[in-house]
Formats: sequence, C-alpha cells, structure tokens
Amino acid sequence: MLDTAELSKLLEQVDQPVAGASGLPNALYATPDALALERERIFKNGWACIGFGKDVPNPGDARPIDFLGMPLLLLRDPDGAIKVFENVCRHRGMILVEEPKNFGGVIRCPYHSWCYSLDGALRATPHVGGPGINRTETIDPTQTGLTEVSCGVFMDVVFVNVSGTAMPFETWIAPLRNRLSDFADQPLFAPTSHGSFTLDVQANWKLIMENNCESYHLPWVHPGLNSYSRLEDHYCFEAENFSGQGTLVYNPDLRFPNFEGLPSKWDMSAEYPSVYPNVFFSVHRDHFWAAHLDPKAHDRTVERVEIYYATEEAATSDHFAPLREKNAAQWKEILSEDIFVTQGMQKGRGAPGFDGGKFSPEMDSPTHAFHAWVARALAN
Amino acid sequence: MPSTPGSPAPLPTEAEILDRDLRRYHGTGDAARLCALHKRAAVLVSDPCEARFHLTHAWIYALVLGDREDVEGLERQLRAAGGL
Repeated sequence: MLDTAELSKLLEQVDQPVAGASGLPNALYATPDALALERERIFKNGWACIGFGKDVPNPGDARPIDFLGMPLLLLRDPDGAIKVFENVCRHRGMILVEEPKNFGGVIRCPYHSWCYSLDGALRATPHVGGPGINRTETIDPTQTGLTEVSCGVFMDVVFVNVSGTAMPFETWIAPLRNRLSDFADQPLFAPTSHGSFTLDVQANWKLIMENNCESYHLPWVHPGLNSYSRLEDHYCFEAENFSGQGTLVYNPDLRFPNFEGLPSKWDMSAEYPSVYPNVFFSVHRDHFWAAHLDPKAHDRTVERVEIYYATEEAATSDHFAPLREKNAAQWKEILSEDIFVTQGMQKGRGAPGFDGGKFSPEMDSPTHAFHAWVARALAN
Repeated sequence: MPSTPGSPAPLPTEAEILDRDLRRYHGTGDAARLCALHKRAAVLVSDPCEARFHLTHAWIYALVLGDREDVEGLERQLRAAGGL
C-alpha cells in the first residue's frame, strides 16, 4: 500500500532545484498502487499518448485500445479526422469493438445491437420499446451517444485527455510544436516495410522515459552510437512538458531524402524530446520516429516505435527497402541496449535504502525535470 | 411435414428455407445476406408484429452496411408499421 502522507513528503524533496533534489521514491516504481495513482492523476487528468494516426489509415477504420484498463476506440471518421471514444455501449456497458476493423456503416453493439454512427451518435435502438418498436420515451438518442474523449494529433502521434479537464491540446502541444517547428507540419510517410517494432520491457514506464531524457549514459550503454555521436557533442533542453537531448553530429551512413526546407542546422543535428508522460520523439533531417510507452503494470512496459520518412519514395519504394530495414534494425538495437539498464533500475527499486538517487546538475537536469513534473502531477 | 417411409422427403417450404438460412448466417456477420433474408421474411410472415420484427433486423443490417438507400426505405416501412 502507498503511504500517501509519506509520499507527499518525499515528492516535495523531488520538486526542488536539481542540485539538492532527490529522485522519485521507490514506491512509485515498485507497487501496483503507484500505477493506479498515476493512472488517475497523470494519464487521465493530462494529455497522454495512446497510439498513432497510422493505426487507422482509412475513413471508417477503428482500433480498440486498452489505455491502462480504460477501453478506448481510436477511429478515423468519414472526413479523415481522428476521433476517440470510450469503447463501450451506452446501454449495458458492453465492449463495442474487439478487433481493428473498418466500418462502412454504423458500429453495432454485439449485445442488443444498439448502433452508433461514426460521429458517435446513437443511431438505432432495436426492440427498445418492445419487439419491433425501436424507440422509447425514456432514452433520448441525442443524449446517449458514445462518450467522446478529447484527442489531439501531433506528427501522427495521438494524444488523449480522458478527464477532459486538461488545457486545450493546441495550448499543451505548443511548446513542442515550437521546438520542432521545422518538422511539425511536414508530410510524414509511414513505411510499407520495416516501419515499426516493439520492445517488452520488464520495467516501470518512468524509467524508460528517464533514460531517454539524458545523453549521460551514451558512452557506457551505446558504444556504437558514441563512435559517431560523442557525449560532448550532445546538449540538453527542457520545457514545461518535455525535456531531452540533442546531438550536433548526426551523420549516419544511411541516407534517405531529407524533409523539405529544413534550416541548415539540421544538416548535422538531431533531437530527442521526451514528451511527458509517455512518448518520446526522435527527429532527424531525413526521418522521424516516436516511441509510445504503454504501461502494462508497475513493472512492465510495452515500448512501441513507429518510424516515418520524409518522402513516399523513402517510405515505400523497393529501392529504399534495404536501407529502411537497416535503419529500423539500428534503432531497435540502440533501444534494446537500454533494456538492461531500465530493467536493472527496476530491480534496484527493491533496495530499501535507495532514496530516489541524486542528480548531476550538469548531466541529469532533463531527467530531474521529468521527476519534478511527475512529483507535481501526483501532488495535485 | 412428416414423410412416409419409402417416399421422397417433401421439399421444404420457403419459410423453412429462410429459417434455416437465418440460423446459418446468424453468426457470420454477413450483414448483406442477413439484411436480405430478414427483408424476405418480413414479406412472408402474415403477422404484422412479426413483420416489424424482421424489418427491424433488416434495418440494423442495412445500417451496418451503410446502405443509405436501403436504410431510408426500411425506415419508411418501419414508420408505417409503428416501429419508429
């Protein structure tokens, strides 16, 4: 059980200037109660990633999503817009859609066949007034549509705010949009092959975010990466709802067509913002990927990576297929190299004497920024 | 209809064939087939309440298909029958 009074005291020590701050306490990594608390105060109350627009490429496509036990339905409407609904019938709470599929007409509940339009409106209630009588005074279809969940899309990454109480999406995403303004409105092309991979990590979701925030670990954990992107070539950045690192020497062997109109600074730069709470971005002059962290338990996270390219040719042509394969394999190798440290830190959270750890003001500031953000979110 | 030993089995009635097909396709999710079968059943039955029952099912499967013209036609019939 989480001792909330004790937790509050410990969180105060986290939200301090980096030099004197403690890290988040063990209990937030090692107990199921912690994830339940985070579900309410972080994932429901704020904006969080649930998937990608490429999951529903065509109008009428729908994909059920289990978002920390909350059944959601990601849907592309007939006009091409992304919508998210609670994936339950308003009648008896039956799950509406069990598998990804395309809906040419309505979404029919498999229980009593109540039907919903793709805009969520209740369209039919068969036999609701008795056999063959399909209306009843007490059920107003205009008040009984699917429960819509606030959603927003940035660079094909889909975010939701389940509580509906967070700031407007465009306000929330503005700092990241500003930081990635050279990429934010570029067309993105999802590959036909070697465009995604997943990693099943036996570690708390926050440890994966934290690890991605900093470049301090690169020479020790990613020696191959360090051979062309050295520690001293990296820099850190922080904002209200993200932090991360960038490199000034991005120049891998693989060469895809670049995004159009990029300033020259991107010739040799790449950036890796970790967007709180659960997605990190990776932008390069010729491709972009995002990693969605899906917390399955307090000590298990599924990390899903989706890669995008700057041109259709890079994303779909046979000519680039071997390079796409190599690029995806390279990123998978790098992210896989992180697993032993995130899983090692997860085991380390079982040590009763570990007090959350210390931060280097020079190297760990983006990680501390994430800790402080979590502390503030949990304290609210 | 029972048959006497040695004589060929009598042909099933259209109602029996419909009933058999409705059972066969019930779990298939074949909305087009189910819509058509229920529309036919609505015509065959003599009881107006039973007809309205089948029209309701035909309407739901037409909605699933997104067949606007069919939906509008079935809604007209259902309104006339007091089902909407």
